[in-house]
Amino acid sequence: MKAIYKSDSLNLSLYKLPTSIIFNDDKIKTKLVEELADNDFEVINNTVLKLNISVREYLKVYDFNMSYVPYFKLENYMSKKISFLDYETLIYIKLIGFLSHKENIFIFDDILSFLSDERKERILKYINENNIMYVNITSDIEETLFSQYLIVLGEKGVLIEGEVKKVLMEEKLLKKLGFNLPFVLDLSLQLKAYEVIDQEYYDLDKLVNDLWN
Amino acid sequence: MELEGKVIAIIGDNLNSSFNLKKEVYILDNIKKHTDKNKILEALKMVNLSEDYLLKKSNDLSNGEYSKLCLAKDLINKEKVIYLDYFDKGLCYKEREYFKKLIKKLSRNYGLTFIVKTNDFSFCINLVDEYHILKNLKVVKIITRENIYKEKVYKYYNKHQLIDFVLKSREKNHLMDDYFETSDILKAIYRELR
Repeated sequence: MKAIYKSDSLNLSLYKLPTSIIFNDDKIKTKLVEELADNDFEVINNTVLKLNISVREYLKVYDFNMSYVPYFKLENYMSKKISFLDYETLIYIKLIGFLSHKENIFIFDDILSFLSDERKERILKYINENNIMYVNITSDIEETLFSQYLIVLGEKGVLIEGEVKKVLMEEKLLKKLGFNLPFVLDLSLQLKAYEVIDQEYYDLDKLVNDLWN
Repeated sequence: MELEGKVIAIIGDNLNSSFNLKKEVYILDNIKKHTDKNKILEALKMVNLSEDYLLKKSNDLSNGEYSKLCLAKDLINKEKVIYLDYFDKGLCYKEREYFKKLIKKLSRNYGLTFIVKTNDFSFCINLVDEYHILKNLKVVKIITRENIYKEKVYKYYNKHQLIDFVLKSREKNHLMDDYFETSDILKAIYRELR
């Protein structure tokens, strides 16, 4: 079988648009991550090292711009030892360190779901403001809405791919393949089928407002 | 406190951010040393893993594979209380739904107790029987699934779109009952707007 990461769709998307990859087979996802790591892509996973250095020293290694400390709300952590931090904070700081090298293309290996909502929003805001290219391999369908391109991976490789909203509209196919849809889209498509509303939604507040007004 | 045959989520004490880092390095060896091969194969089958996994090295396991092997090991060893520590991470939607059904079946039919720790409420909803709130490692409050909305259990987890939708609809005086499934919400919306 051809290396998954060398398939045309993955080559295109890795260099052009922030991309999400969802999967219905753990083995194929593991294979893809291994291939990417073996071919020098910057893969960020959820393993962390409990080092006996301060957060400040850790981030210095990554040439982190210290003016971003307030942006990431790290003031209370800078002098703390890495080894004393809780797991979620370790993941958060690991991500911040890696993302300091904005010119790289980052592969997130199912890591964003470990963060609190607040920290995830902050990381994504930083990524968008700095036009950082990434591929988010995720088991959380809601995360696909953060990116612009979506690749659906199955046992035999790439199943469907394209702009996020276009792929997610392949509702029947995705459900047949064992995927769920983002909640707001799923609910609005079913309401549309019952002629309660006349369009699909991706934004929860907008759906609530339009539905009940 | 009666725990047998229940699925319990532990929350509070900043627990959801204290994932157990220490992966058991020899988990595969610990499974393989069991003398009853049929038991091993049965457990692996239950957690959707093939016999090939016995040939792998522990370091090569993904999060999802490692979590499944931990569960298999506990089943082989006939543990009565099984800890699911961020078990849902690394599992695709299809597998998460499969394991929710399996966990429910094992707790109801075989009296196993599961202790769940995660930041994702979608894994707990429709699975967990009780939410135990911890403070200084002591259980200070127990919330049953019927009181999820009343006691605002969801505030201990990352945002959950379904719950968020219900809460925002309530601000507009709609969907005042407690909902946990999209299908029930659909019926309620249809009833209200008819």
